[in-house]
Amino acid sequence: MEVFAQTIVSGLLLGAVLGLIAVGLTLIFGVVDIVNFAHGEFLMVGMYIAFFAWRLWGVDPLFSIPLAALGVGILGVISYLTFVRHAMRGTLLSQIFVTFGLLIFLRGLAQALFSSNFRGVQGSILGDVSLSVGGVSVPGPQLAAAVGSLIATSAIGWFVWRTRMGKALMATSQDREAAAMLGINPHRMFALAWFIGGIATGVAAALIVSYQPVHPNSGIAYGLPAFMIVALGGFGSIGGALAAAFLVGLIENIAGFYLPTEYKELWIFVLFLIVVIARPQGLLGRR
Amino acid sequence: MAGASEVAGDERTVERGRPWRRQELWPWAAFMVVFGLMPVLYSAPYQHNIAVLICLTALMATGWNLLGGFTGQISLGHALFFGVGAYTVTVGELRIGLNPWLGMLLGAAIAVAVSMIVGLPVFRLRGHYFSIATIAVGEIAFLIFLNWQFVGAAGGLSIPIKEDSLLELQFSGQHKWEYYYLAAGLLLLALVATQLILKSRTGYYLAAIREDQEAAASVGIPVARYKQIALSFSAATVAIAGAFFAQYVLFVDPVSVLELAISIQITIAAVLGGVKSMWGPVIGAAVLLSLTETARLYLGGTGEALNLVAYGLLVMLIAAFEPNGLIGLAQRFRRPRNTRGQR
Amino acid sequence: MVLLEVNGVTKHFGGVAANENVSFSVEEGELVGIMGPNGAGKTTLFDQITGFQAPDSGRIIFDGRDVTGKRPDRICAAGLARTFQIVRVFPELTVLDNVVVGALHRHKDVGVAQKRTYELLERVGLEDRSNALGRELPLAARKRVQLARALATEPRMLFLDEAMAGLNKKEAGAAVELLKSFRQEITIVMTEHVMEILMPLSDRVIVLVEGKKLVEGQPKEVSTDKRVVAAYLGEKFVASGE
Repeated sequence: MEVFAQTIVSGLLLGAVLGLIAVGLTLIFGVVDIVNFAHGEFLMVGMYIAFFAWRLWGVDPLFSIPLAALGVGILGVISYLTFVRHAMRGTLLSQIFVTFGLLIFLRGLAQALFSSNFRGVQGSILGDVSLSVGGVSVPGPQLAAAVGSLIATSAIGWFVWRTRMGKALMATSQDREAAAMLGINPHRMFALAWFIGGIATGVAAALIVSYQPVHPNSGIAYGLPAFMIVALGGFGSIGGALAAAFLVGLIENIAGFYLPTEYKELWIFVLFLIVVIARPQGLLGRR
Repeated sequence: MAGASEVAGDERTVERGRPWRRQELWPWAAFMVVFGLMPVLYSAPYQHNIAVLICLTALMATGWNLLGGFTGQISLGHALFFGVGAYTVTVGELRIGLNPWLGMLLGAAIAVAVSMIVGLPVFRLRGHYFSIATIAVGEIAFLIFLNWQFVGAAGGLSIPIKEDSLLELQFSGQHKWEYYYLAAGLLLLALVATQLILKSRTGYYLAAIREDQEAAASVGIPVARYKQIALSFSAATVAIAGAFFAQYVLFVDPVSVLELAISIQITIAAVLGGVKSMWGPVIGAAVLLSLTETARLYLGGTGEALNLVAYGLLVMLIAAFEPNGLIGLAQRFRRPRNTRGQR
Repeated sequence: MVLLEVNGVTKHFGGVAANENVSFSVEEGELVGIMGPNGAGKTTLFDQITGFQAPDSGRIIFDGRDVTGKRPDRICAAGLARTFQIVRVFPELTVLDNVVVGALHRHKDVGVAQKRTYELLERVGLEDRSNALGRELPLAARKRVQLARALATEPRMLFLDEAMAGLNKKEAGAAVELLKSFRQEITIVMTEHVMEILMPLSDRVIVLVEGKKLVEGQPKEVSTDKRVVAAYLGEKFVASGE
C-alpha cells in the first residue's frame, strides 16, 4: 500500500513539472497555431543555462530560475522573429519543419559547444533533503520542482486570465482576426506567446537541473511526453494540458511500477493514440 | 502537372497522346549518368559506403514523399516500416532460411499490412495531430522491438556471413559495387513507379487531397482510400530499403532501424531537396549525406555537431523561405515563372 | 420525375436548431432557389444533402436511393455535385488540373479527362487561363473553376451555395448568363439571399427562416407572400455594388 502511495506521489510530482512544460507548449500553439517541436530543446537550453550559472558562479539552481527563464524566453522570441514568423504563412509542412530545424540546430549547437558529455549539478541546496510522510519519501529537489512548477503555472494562469495583456493573448488565441479588429496586434501577441512559452520552459529547466543530467539530448525525456500531453489535453487548452500532465505523470509511475519497466513509456503513447483517435480534439480541446 | 516533374520546367499542360515530353527526360538522363558513374568517380571504399546509403536514403525519402509531399500527410514515424523490412528479412533468414529477396518482398507485404492497420485509425486525424500520432506509433514500435525476445530485443540479430552471391544478396569485398548498383536499381524502380503514379488518376487525386480534403471529397474522391494507397506505397518502399539495409550491414537492432532519428532523417532529406518534386528526395538525400560525411571526415566529432547546426539552419531556412527546397531555389534562379501560358 | 426528396431533415448544434423538419422535393430539370436571411440554415441543409454533415433525423433520397449520412464522394458518385460558399479551388494546382480532378471521376484515363476538361473550360470561358494556378485567380474566375470542376463530375443535380456572393454587378450578370447557358442540361438547386438574382432564374422558390421551411412556390407568389416580406422586413437587398 505504501508503495502504491509512493507511485502516486511520484506521479503527481512529475505531473506538476510536465504540466508547466506542457502549458508553455500549448500556449504557443493556442496563440500562434504552431507546434513547437523544439520545445524539449528549449528545456535543454534552460538546463544548460542553469548548469553553467552553477558551474561558473556557484549559483544554486533555485536562484538561477529568473536567468534561465529569461534566457529561454528570449530564445523563444528570437526563434519567432527570425524563422517561425515566415513559416507561418506557409504550408503545414513548413510549419512543422521550421521547428524541427530549430530542434536539430539547438541540439547541434549544444553538442558543438559543450560536447555530449553528461553534466550534473551537485550539492544543490535541497539536494540532500528528503521528506518522509507516512512511509512515502519525497525527495527535496523533486518536491521543490513540483511546487515551483505549480507556482509558475499559476502565475501564467493569472497572467493569462487576469491581466489585460493576457486577455489580449487569449483573444488572439480564440480568434485572431476578431482580436486584430479590436486593435490587438497579432505579431506582438505571437512574440509574447513564444516569450511566455520560453519562460515556462526555462523555469522548469532550472527546477529540474538539480536532479536531472544535462546533455544535448536531455530535451527528449520531458519533451516527447509534452507533445502527447498537449494533444491529449487539447491543443490550446491550458487546463487540459495541466490535467493531462498529471494523468501522464501518474500513468508513467503506476505503469512503471506494476508493469515491466521497459514498457512504461509505451503506455503513454498508447493512451495518447486511444484518446486522440476516439476524441480528435483532445480531452478538453476545441479544435 | 500535379507537382510531378517541376524540375523540367513550368509548363503544366501535358500533350494529349504523348505522356512523355522531351523536356521531362533530362532529369532521368542526369540521374542515370550521375548515379551510374558515382562509384566510378568516387571509388574509395568509404565513398562507396556513402553512395549506398545515399541510394537507400533516397529510396526511403522517395517513398515517404508520395505520402508526405504529394498527399500532404506528414508522417514522422516511417522508421516503423524500415524496421519491419529489416527485421522480416533477418528473422526470416535466421529462423527459416528464407532467401533475402523473398524476405524483402515479405517485408514489404507485412509493412503494407501494418500500414493498413495503423492507417485506419490514424488517418482520422489531421494536421499536427496526425504527425504527432505518427511519432507515437513509431515510438511504440521501437519500444516493442526493444523488449521483444523473439527479435533479439535490445541486443539485436546478426545475419551470418555467407559466400558472395546475388541470390543471397551478400557480397564481401571492400568495394561495394554490387550493393551500390542493386540499391541504385531499387531506387530507379521506385522513381519509375512514383512517376507512373503521379501521372495517373491516383496522382491527381493525391494532389487534390493535399490541397483540400473536403473539396476533393465533393468531386468524388474517396479520400481515406487514396490516403491509404499513398501510405501503402510508402510503407512498402521504405520496408524494401530496410530489408536491403539489413543485408548490407548484416545486423539489426532497434536503435539502428526503428529510432525516431531515422524517421526524421527521411523527411529532412525530402524537405531539403524539395517535396513538390519527384527528384527532391533524391537530391536531398545526396546533399544531406554528402554534407554529413564531409563534416565527419574533416572535422571529426565536432564535425558531427557542426553538421547538425548547419542542416538545422538549412531546414529552418527552407521551411521559412523556400518551402520547395533546393529544387525550388534552383527554379527561382533558372527562369521566372510563366503563369499565364497559352495552351 | 422527382430527383431529390428531402424528408424532415433536422439538425441541432448544441441546443440550437440549425434545421428543423425541412422537407421538399426537386423534379428533374428544375431550377429551385432556396432563399433565406443569413443564418436561416441554408448551408447546413446543403452540407447534409451533400454528405458533409449527417442529419440528426430525416431522410434524403436522391434518384431513388437513400443517401442520408453518406460520404460526400459517394453522393457525388450518385450524381449530386456542389460548390462551396467560400470558394475552394485547389490553390497550388492549375485551372486545368483543378477541373481534370473533377473529370477523372467519370473518366479514369487522364488523357480523356483532359479532353473533357478543355471542352468545359471553353464553356465557362477559362480556356486561356488554363495554366494559371488556383490561388492566382481573382474571385470571379475562381468561382468558374469551382463550377467547371463540379460540372466535370457529370452530375445530374448541382447545388450552388451562394454562387453570387462577393461578385460585383457585372460579374454577377456574367455568372447568371453562364448559369442560364447550361440550365437545360442539369437540375440546379441554388441558395442566394439576394432576391433580384434568384427570382428571375428560379422555376420554384423555397424560403427558409430560422431553420424551418416557411413557404414554397412560384417566385411571384413567394415574393409577395406576407410572411416572406415580414421575414425580410427591414432588410434591403441589392446585388453587392462596387
